[in-house]
Amino acid sequence: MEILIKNGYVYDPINRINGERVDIAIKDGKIVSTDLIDTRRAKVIDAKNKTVMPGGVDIHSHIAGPKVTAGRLMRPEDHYKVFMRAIPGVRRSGTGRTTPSTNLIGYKYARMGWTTVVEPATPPLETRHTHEELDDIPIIDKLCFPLFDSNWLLLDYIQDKEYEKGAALLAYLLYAVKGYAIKLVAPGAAEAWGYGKGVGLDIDDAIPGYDLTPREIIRGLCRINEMLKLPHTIHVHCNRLGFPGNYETTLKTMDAVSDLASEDRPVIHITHVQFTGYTGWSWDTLGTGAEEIARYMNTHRHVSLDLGQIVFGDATTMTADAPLEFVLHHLAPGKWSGSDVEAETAAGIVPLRYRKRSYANAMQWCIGLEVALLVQDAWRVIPTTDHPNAGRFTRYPWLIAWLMSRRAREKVLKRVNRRAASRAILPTLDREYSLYEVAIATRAAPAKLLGLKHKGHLGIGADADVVIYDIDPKSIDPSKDHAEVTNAFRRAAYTIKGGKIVVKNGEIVKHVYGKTYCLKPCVPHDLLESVVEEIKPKFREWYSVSLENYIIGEHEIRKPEVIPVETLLK
Amino acid sequence: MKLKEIRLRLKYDFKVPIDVRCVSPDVFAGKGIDDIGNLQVYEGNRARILKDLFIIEGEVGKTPSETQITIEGGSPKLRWIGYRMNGGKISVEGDVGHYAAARMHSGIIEVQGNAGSRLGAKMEGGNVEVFGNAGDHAGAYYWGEKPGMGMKGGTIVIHGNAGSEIGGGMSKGTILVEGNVGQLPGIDMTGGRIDIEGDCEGKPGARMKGGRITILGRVPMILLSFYINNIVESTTIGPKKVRVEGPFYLFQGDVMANIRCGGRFYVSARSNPHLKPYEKFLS
Ligand SMILES: [Zn+2]
Repeated sequence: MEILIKNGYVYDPINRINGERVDIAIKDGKIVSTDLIDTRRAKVIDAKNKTVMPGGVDIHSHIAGPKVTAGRLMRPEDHYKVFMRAIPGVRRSGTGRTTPSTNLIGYKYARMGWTTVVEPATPPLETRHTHEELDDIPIIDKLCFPLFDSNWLLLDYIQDKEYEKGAALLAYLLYAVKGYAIKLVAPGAAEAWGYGKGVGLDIDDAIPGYDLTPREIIRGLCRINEMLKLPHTIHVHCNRLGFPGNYETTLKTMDAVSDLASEDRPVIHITHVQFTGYTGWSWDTLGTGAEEIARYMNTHRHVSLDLGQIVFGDATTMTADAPLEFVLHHLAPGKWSGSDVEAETAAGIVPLRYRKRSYANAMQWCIGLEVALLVQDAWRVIPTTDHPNAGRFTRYPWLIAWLMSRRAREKVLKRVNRRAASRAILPTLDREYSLYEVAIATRAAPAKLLGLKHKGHLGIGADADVVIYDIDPKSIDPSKDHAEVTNAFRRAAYTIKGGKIVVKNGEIVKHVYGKTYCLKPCVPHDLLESVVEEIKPKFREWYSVSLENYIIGEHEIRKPEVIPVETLLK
Repeated sequence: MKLKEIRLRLKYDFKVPIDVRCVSPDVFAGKGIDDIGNLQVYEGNRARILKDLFIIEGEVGKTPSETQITIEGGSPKLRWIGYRMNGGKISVEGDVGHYAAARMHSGIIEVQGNAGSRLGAKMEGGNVEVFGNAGDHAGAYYWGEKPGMGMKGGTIVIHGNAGSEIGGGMSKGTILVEGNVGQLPGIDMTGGRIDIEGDCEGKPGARMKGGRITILGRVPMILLSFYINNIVESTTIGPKKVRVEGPFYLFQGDVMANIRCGGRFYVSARSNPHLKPYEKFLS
């Protein structure tokens, strides 16, 4: 099918198009030059007085995997409140708000105009489950990041400083579970948790059972990541996340890999930085570390961030940082679940509710936005809500409005805890994102950080993931009309995914399935063989499955897109 | 006040669940018979109208409180009868299914037969009387909710037996069961009272933080997180607070839910001779 989008104001930061009227032509699921289109046959969409952007890319959103399913089971009350009816032949039904069912995830992302989403934490052993669920999510393209921070096989190599073998093993595991990048969650904490320790494990504390510190794990995996030249950097959930005073640990984590940066590209991605940007020594004295983090970001180019912005209301925290969830369970009595994944990692889940009147929650809300507004380079700060940890992804339109409008922020600030509002620096910040910066932060930058060459832009050859929002940049002033911006982002006028119109006027009109991206790093045969021979006996001893069954075949994934990676291994 | 009566007779034997949440005096009041007949109901996953399923006769009052709805026959497939009902009366000459009287605010519901699960779930006021048995979770919260989100007021009287987890998460109101109950009555309760004239299958009051439970029949064992407080000679049961003679063991708990042990429950000493060893803790 051929589509021609005419007269729209296009925002495409990668190709430096800032609100100019450019026609976009789509043929066979790709963006093509307009003269390759047969205008008589093509479907012409008139985007007059509307905004055209590439499809959104979410760099961090927990949408699939065993912990999401456990969250759904734990929260039936989250499901009977919200449901979407099926329309035969068009869409299927679904339920859930903070832990929506698979179909709803795809539909809700598409309705907002997001077309690529990362599941950022999956235990390698249970990634088969993650892929089964990702396969079931309609419309969006998917990636998943396996957890490698407490993997015994890998820790052995890092402890012995055999990075070459470690890199070969990681490449092997990454392809075996069809993952895309290296995720670290509070490095070492899951391992220490196995000994009943690990609560508030700092970057230079010893990890029981190993002659290692979290710093060495971060540096080791960062080095391995650079050896393998993986498209994304290491994706790090910092140590001491959720503990007041943890901004120092975050700065140390960023600085730990500063010497490993070679090119002018980030080598570390700090995820949900809001949760790791606290000063103070207790929840009552919680303060903002946003200034320090922003100062570091503005003077160093090797770090990228995503926010993990709090959105008031219901949330379900789920993370591989199991000791943290244990602490949260005592802060918010009620449901809690914890689990251990053999020789790899651990996890926990606690439902939470963020309240405007709570000092700590209001402060958290301020910190996220402060980081976003204080860091000058929109290419390295991605607005996320760490769905469903800090809030659900369906609140992105509000998050965008807060970034674009000081008035929208003040409206919320009037209703939050007074002491928090007076201690935060947010009320003094008057920066407002432009639509171009929003397009950078939600589309171009995450696609670039993930190394997805065909995503996040509308240049020729890019995937035809295009969104049309009902925003007229000539007549709407987002600073004043933030409610209109929110509404436009809640319900896209059109979402086109892979050349097919999937959303029209905010409603799903077509149920399609996207691809799952995974990497195949090229490792020299001899090196790989020797590493596999070395891990075989360990695997037999430590795992409940055999190595043959651990490997996920490409045929097990609905639409795999395997990207070969040239590595530095010889 | 004389109630105006409208009678609904089942046209056929229902095979699949029917969502009749529109059968409530507040919806019917002030409407003509034709309008009532055209109200939407779901039979399984199919949208139908009320007169497809029922023969409707009689008249309704101007306000809900002047309206009585009588369902002749009844069926365990009829779900959500009297949902959010506010005033008036529903009388069922037969069985009802799940969620009868859920979220009810005021009025009366009488069921001559049996009721399904979650009878009076999350109800806030009014009176429910069931002459047969009731299913699980009578007067309870919906699935997965927090303690205190169950029944918030009103009374439920069950003349037969009731299932498990009755009064789950209730914070106010009264439940009286004249027969036996299943496991875990009063789980997560924070207030209100549950009175059971028959036996209990076990684990009464698990995680309770407040309120009171009285059991006149036999209980196999008391949870270990309850402390014995006293032996009392008599206590009261039911919405009318009828005095019954004991003696009763008075326990307090559940210490696992709250260290203050705000929940109290009375267990008949005569029906439970196996609890006698507790008496030595009282000396
Ligand atoms: Zn996360």
